[in-house]
Amino acid sequence: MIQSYKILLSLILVVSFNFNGCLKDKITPPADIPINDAGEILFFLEEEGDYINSSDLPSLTDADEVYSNMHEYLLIDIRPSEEFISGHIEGAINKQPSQLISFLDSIDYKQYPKIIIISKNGQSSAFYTCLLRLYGFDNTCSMNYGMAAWNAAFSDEWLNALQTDYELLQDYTNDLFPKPASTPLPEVSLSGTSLEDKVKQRIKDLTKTEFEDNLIDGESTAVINYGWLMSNTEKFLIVCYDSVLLYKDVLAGISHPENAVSFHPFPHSELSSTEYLQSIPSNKKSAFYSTNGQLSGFVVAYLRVLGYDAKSVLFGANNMYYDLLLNSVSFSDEAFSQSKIRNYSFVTGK
Amino acid sequence: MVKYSCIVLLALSFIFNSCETSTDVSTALKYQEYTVIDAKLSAGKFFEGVRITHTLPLGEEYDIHKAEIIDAIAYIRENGVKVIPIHYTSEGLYKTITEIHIKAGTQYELFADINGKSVYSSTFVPDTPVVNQVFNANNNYLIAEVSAKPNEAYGAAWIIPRGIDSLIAGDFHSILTANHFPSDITLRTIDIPAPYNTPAYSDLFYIKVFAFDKAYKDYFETRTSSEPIEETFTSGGGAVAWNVYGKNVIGLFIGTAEGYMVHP
Repeated sequence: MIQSYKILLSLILVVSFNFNGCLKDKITPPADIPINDAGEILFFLEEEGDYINSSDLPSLTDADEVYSNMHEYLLIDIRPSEEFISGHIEGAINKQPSQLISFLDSIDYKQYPKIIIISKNGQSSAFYTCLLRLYGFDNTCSMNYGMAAWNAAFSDEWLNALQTDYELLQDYTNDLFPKPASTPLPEVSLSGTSLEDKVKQRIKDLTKTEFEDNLIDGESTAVINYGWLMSNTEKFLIVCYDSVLLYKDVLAGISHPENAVSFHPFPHSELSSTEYLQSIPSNKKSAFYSTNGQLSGFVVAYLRVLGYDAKSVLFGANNMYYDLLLNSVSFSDEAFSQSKIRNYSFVTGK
Repeated sequence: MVKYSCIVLLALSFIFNSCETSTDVSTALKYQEYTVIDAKLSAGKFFEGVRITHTLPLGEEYDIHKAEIIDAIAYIRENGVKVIPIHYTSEGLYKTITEIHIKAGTQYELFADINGKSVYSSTFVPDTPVVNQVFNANNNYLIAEVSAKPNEAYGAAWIIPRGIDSLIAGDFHSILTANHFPSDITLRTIDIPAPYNTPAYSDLFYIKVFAFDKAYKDYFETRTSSEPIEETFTSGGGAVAWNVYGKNVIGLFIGTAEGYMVHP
């Protein structure tokens, strides 16, 4: 009996040696959790100066300054070639938005104190200028109000956009609506070797986005018509991206559409990653308005780089409640009018 | 017969054990570099940043400029949603673009890409610990009873407040967690050193309880592992339980909350 126990004990010892023989002390599988692509883009854009939340925004240059520096600045007119041929600023060159980056990469762009991007109404030039800034062309600016401010021959669309729809204003409110809860960053897919390559390729791809300078009705990829927005408010988060007075200014009678939220630009920069960037929904469209549609054009470009389905309300509050802007102490200067049309000379042909 | 059996079995055991890989020990020790993550996220305070460095070879004098990693792509994520990039500032310290406050009751994750290597960590920032009772154990140490919560660990330190120059215990006696909830746990400080362990000083002593992400308990209990074995019963053996993950990555990314000073 005792002998059997000894044999059993020996067997247990042997088996225990065998099992222990191949064990290792510590098994901690290394986590291989890749970082999110939109997170990488956000990291890169912040690393490069966080343009959208900086004092450089919006990079606008008035027609007067362009006129005074026509021979020092590089003027790039991004209108369709037939519009360019029918009239443009002397010395300006015509490039389509999708050609901008390749063109600027091919020249010594830093030799120019400023590179002015010009569109008909200053709406699309704001969008593409922001893309160029994010790409790294830090001397690019959009011409304020576009060709409309250069000469009356190009101001028809801006003048037609000036309106106050009193019927729609009846549904406006002074209630303050809280920003929505954060949603995850949008899903984007990057390709490239380095982070810089990946983000720059994405920006380059976005220059192919069609951003209309005028849209009579409906919505397109990055642009929305005000009337259309107000007929489809449930599909959008409406964002007033400007001074808080454009959201609510009791003295000027300015209020906002139901459920619209307010985001401050610099210096309070509520679109910062540390603030409310992710209150912009990644699972819903958003429509941004500013006083004249230019600041919103900049911010929509930034958000689209991050993957958000954001759209700019063309002509902004000028197209929503123009009369109220005229009466406002804060915004009367940003209400487009005949006084902004400088009637500088232009040339025709290529 | 039994003797023979034992001999055969032992021989077999040696054969089976031979699946251990044998390595020729080189007299020149091979240096394995580790990435080191260091971050403390204190509830209610500004985020101090994440320090990302790497170890230096044995014998090399520590120099932060040699140890720092300056080109990590990294961000923290709040409650599984809000992504906040962190950027290199100096001496390996990565901070958010503007200051943020660390929120109690919030999960923070760290994601980093360091030259193609993924690093991940997750921590929970506890609430300010609730102290129910405190005692003075004959001026030798102080005791606090706290209400324990899930996912949290607790430690206590004695303190003599002197403004910014307060005298505080340099270590915890222990880090404790509760097994069931709700429950109270009793913490003690390390011994009060001479000459303060006399009744003359008893009025000056306060106790402060610190709450941690429960991962801190594992770290605390293994922190002396892998050190040179100078004291047989306290040093060496096993691995330190870090809470960061990735290949050859060590360090702590830990949430904490400071309690109020309470007089016994």
